[in-house]
Amino acid sequence: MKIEVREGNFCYAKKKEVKPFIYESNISFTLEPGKIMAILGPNGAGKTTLLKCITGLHGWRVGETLIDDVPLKRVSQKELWKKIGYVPQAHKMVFGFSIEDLVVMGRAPYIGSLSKPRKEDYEKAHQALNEVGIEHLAKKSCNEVSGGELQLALIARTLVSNPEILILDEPESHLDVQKQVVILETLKRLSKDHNISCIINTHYPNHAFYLADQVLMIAKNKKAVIGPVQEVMTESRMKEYFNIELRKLIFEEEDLLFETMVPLALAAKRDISECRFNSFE
Amino acid sequence: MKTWKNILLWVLPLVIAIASLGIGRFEVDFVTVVKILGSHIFPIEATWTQMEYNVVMTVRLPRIILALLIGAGLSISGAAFQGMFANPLVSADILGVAAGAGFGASIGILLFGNGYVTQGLALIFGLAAIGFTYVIGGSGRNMPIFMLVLAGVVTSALFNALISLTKFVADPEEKLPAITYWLMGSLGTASYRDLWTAGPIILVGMLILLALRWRINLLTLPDEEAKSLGINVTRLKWLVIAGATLCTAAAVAVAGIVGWVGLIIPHIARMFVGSNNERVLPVSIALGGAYLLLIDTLARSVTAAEIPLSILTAIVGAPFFAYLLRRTGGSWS
Repeated sequence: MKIEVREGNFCYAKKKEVKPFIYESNISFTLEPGKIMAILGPNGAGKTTLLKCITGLHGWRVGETLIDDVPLKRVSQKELWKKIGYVPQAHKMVFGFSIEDLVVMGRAPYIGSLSKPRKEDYEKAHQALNEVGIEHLAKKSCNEVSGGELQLALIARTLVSNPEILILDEPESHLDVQKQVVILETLKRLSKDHNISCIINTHYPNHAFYLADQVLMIAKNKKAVIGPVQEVMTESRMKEYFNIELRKLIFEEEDLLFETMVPLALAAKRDISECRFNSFE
Repeated sequence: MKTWKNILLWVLPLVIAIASLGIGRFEVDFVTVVKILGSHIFPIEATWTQMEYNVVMTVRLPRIILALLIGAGLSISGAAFQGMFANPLVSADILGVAAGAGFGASIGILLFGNGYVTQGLALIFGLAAIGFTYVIGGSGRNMPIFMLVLAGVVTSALFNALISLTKFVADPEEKLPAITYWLMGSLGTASYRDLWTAGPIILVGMLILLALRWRINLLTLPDEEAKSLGINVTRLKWLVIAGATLCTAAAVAVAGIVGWVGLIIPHIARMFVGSNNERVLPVSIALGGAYLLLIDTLARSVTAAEIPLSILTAIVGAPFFAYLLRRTGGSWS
C-alpha cells in the first residue's frame, strides 16, 4: 500500500490560544508499497506525535494523510485499522494476559461488537506468533516474558489483521543488542515477504542504514528533510539536527559491508607520550 | 477436568441457595425444601406444613434470589470497572455511584420513609453521581482515566457530606437509625416487590457487560493503543459504565451499600481463570452470587438480630485482601 502525507503539521492547541506548529515546515512524503522509512530526530522533536498524526490517532492540524490516494478521513476506522498496524513501545501490562490473548486482540476489527474471537482467530494468532518466532510462548503471561519477546508479540498482534502498513514507535529501544537485531531482521523480512510498508521511529542511525529505504529527519526549529538514506544521513546534517559531531564509518570484511555512525566525542584520545612506539622498556 | 470445574462453579450457587432456604431461625430440612420447590414443576404431594411453605417461598426465596443477583451484579461490575480503568484496585464505588445512590436513599428515608420512592431516588442519584463524575472528569472524548478516578473521589466526598447532612437533620429516634442501618447494607426487608423492581435492571446491566466481556480486554490497554485496534474506545467505555452503573445502582437501591464484594470477587475469579475477561466476568457472576448469599445467610442466622452486610463483607473481605496484597506484592498476573 502506498502511504502519502501532504503538507501535514500539528500543534497542541488549548481552547482559545493557538500554539505554534511543532514542525518548522509542513511535512510531505510518499512511501511506496513494501518500502521502509525511518524517522530520526532528537528527543522532543515530535517523532511519536508524527506517527500518531500519520495514522490519524491525532488529527493533523493542517494537511492530510492519503492511503492509496484516498484521504484517511474517508476510510472507516474499522477498515483503516485492518490495513494499518500500529506497534507502540512495549510497556508493562496491568493484567497478565497470555501472549495468545494479547495477540488475538489484533483481530478486533474483524470481530463483531458483541462477539468474541473464534477458533480461526486463535489460529491466526498462532500463525502470527510463528511468523515472529515466538509461538512457543503462546500460553505464557505477557508479564513473564522479556521486553524483546513482548515487543515481538506486539508486532504479531498487528500481523493478525493482515496489515499492509506497519507503524512502529521505537520498537528496538530498551532492548539488548541481540534482541534489537532480532526485531530488525524480523521487520525487514516481513516487509519483503508480505510487501508491507513500514514507518519506524528510531534513535539508532545504524538501524536506519540497515532497514530504511528512505529517511525523514526532524528536529526543533529545523525544516524536515526527507530522502534516500545515503543523502540525508550525512555528517554535516547529523551535526545540524542532533547537535553532535558524528563520523560515518564504512567498514568492509570480505563480502560484508557495514555502514554506521559513531559520535566523535566517544573516541579515545591518543596520548603521544604513552604511545607504545615511545616506550623503550 | 475443565468442564467439571465449570459445572461445579455453576452448581455451587444453586446448592448454597437450596441449603440456605432451609437455614434460619425456623428450620426446614433440605428434602422438604427441594420438594416445595419441585412442587411448582412436578405434581408432588404436599408433605409440608403451610408454615414451612410460607417461610421458604414467601420469606426466604425472594431474599435469596436477590442476594444472588446483587452479589453477581456487584462482582461483574467490579470486574468490568477494574478492566476499564486498567487498575485492579478499583470497584464500582470509585465513580461515586455508591455514595450517590446512598444519598438518594437517605433523603428518601428522611422525607418519604421506606418504599418505592426510596429505591427510585437511590437509582436516580446513582446515575446522577456517575453523570457528575463524568462532567468533572472532562466529559467527552479522550477522557483520561486518572481524571475520572479523581472525579469519582470528588463526587464520593460530596455525596458523603450530603449523607452526613441528612443524618444530622434526621430525627434521632426513628429516621437516623433507619438511614444508618440502611447504609450498612441489609436484605432484611427483601420482598418479591424488590425482586421485580431491581432484578430486571441488574439482569440488563449484567447482559450488557457479558456481551462486551471480550472487548473489555481491549480497554485495559492505553486509549490510543486500543483505538489502533479498530474499536470505538469512547463508545465502548460509555457502554461499560452504563452496564456497571445499572447493576450497582439497582443493588444499592435494594440492599443499601454492600462494600468489598465488587473489589474482591474479581480477584478470586482471576486466581481461578487468569486475566482474560472473557472468563473473568462469567466466573465473577457465579462466585459473587454464591459469596453474597453465603454472607447474607450468615447475617440472618448467626445471631438473633440481623448483622448488617457491609460489616460481614468487610470482616471477611479486608483480611483476605490484605493476604492477597502480601502474597502478590500488588502485582497480578
